[in-house]
Amino acid sequence: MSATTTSNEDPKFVIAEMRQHILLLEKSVNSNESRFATRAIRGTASIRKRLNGKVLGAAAAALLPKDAVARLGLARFTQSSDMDVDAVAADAKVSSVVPEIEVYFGFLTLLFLHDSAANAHGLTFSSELVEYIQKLNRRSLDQLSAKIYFYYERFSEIANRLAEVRPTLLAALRTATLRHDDETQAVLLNLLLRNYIHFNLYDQADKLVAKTTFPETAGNSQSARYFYYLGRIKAIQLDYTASHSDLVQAIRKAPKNPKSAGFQQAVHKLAIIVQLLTGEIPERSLFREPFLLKALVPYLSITQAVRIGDLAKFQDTLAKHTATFRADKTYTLILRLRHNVIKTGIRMISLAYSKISLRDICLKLQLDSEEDAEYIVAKAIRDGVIDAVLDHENGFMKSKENVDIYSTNEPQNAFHQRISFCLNLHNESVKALRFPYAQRKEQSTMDALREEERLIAGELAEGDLADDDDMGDF
Amino acid sequence: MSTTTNPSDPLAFDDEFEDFGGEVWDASASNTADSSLWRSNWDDDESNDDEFSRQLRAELEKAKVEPPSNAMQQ
Repeated sequence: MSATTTSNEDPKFVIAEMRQHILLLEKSVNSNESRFATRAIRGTASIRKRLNGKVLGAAAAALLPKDAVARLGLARFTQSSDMDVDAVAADAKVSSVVPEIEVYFGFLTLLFLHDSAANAHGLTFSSELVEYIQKLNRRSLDQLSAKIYFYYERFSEIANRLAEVRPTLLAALRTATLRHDDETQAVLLNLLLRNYIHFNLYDQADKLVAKTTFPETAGNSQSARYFYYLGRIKAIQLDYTASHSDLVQAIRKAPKNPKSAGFQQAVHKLAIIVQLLTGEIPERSLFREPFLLKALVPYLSITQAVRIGDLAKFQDTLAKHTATFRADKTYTLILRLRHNVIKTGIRMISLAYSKISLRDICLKLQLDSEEDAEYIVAKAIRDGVIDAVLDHENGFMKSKENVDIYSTNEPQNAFHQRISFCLNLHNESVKALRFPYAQRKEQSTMDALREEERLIAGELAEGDLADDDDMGDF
Repeated sequence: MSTTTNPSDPLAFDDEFEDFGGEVWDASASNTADSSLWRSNWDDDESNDDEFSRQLRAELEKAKVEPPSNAMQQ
């Protein structure tokens, strides 16, 4: 991360923007509307790169009371000192601030510590901030809390102390769920899944998924992560079809900008392997996307090998990129593809040769022995991969004559696939069209209800009078 | 390069995905992709350097050198 090159930049501009954010945060507290807090947090993206010890110190002096938690934290963890106050009044004019402002400052400090790789400090300070926010119960703090938890986990991960934070995250998740704090819930759920997956605790991750509901109102970037982790879990559980559809969702929900490149790469890597495991070949164009091109090179080789059934290429690629695949946590899944490569290889041979000796098959597929070849061919015939006959005594495989494909069920299957796709597309489109009508219907239903209410209220009033009259007849 | 972030999801703008490495891509790699835009499927990609193609090419060369013995007779 490059430090601010314009270290001479006047903190005044950054401080001015911070003032704006603070106003927004105060507004969110007073109005109880979260959108102001959202805007304030959004704003931090533009000042993030301009943060440094000097700027933060000057800002703290100008905007926080002297004994503010955030200010003390700042002094301990950055090179700032309260002395960097030249342009600002020496005595803090601020007497007290709402906790949101403290946490906001803490958040900025964490960003700065993260970007300058001051990880030890980051871990200490984020733990303190977590303790601070746990004691509070303010809805206006929800969104900032989510961010604090995120960086708390981030620093723990960098320090390789992920196991330690799990209890805290679980407790925080319970609290957030009780308070209906959707954004923090989403963030924590994702952090916990990430934690379990890091340690290959897939059963625990699965249990967590089963016992919780991911908030529908969560933002797209959290949803994208959730679907990615779901996809991962299901892939390990051998449910490749479900895994693939989750990963496709993750891809759809992920923002498509340079900042998300790392995430996009991770999801696509997994999606490619899972798709291969379902028996399909990914689109060639996928491997040319700008954000993915370089990262997917090893995966392109694997796909090519699986596609044409080239076991030699498969083994070579696997050996050459072992480190990458292990780092991507796709190695064990790719191993499962070896079977697919051989299956395709056998199919290619069966198509190309009307008759071929088992020895030649063994050589072509680089198998260990003729027995292996015979076993694989027998299995392939039984699974319906190829249409052939095995002659054990004379050691060869004989492909059956090419049957007229139109007399088989193949055309029917192909039609069925296409018709299903079109029907699905049609249904989805109709569903998407329904909303405007539903709104109008809702509107007219609401009007009808209101009308009814009015009538009933009117009748009640008359009825009351009548009752009074009755009473009055005593 | 269009940033197709969902406008109704404000927090997507400032999610820098630090947990996935953030902005890790090679901008230079994208330039070479333009020349091969027309190549959109696997068959176009096939490298014609495998054993079979080489042998086939060799045979075709041989056939060209020898005068065709079965000239079409009308």
